[in-house]
Amino acid sequence: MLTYNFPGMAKENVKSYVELILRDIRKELSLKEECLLHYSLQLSIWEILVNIIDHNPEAAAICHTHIAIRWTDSDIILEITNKGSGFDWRKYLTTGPPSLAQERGRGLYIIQSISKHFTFDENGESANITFPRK
Amino acid sequence: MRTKDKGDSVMINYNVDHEQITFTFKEDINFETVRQIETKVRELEIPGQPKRIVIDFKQVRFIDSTGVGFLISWIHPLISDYQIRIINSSFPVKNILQICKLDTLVDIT
Repeated sequence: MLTYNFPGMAKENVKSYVELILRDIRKELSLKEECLLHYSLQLSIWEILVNIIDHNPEAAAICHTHIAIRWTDSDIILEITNKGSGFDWRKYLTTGPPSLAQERGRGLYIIQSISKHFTFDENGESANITFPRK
Repeated sequence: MRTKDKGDSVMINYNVDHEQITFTFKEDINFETVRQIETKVRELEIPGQPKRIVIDFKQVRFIDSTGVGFLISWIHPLISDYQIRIINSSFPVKNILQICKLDTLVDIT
């Protein structure tokens, strides 16, 4: 299991946080950088962190963001929590892709499409994403 | 073949020849880079001829949802006048573009 506790989340930190996590995942799981699973993990962590900041930048900056990565032989499970950044996630997890006329609002749809299972807790403060390892 | 370089920037190369207009993206396309990329591409006046646009993604290793949103908003108005192709996309990037239905607007290889 890998765990992280980032004290403040702002857009200028996202890239370095994601790179740090991915470096550890590659090492722990012998994952190649160019494989689809690596990209899916990278993009999902990236999108959730950006989502936390977009929905409540002030809370994201103040509240700690906890990230836990667990794995089994078959799955990798990400849990990303920021207690100040809840939102009405049901509104954003639609059943189909956003229209091509829509410039924003694809982040959660993409995660839903590339993962095996994706949900939030009741308040939208904790995301739980599962990826099949093979 | 006559080739005219219309513009080079850190992030994009832009080239027009007899056959096609080529945009070569030299960076990842994400919320950090998209504003500068968008400013650059909107500055460029795309000629009426030739009718073929090639967007080269060889150096794009990562695109996020903001990047996809920009691509769609840029490409969508062009598809009525140009045949557009995205080339050299990596398998993971191509997968994201397909998930977001960009392959209904342009060919992606």
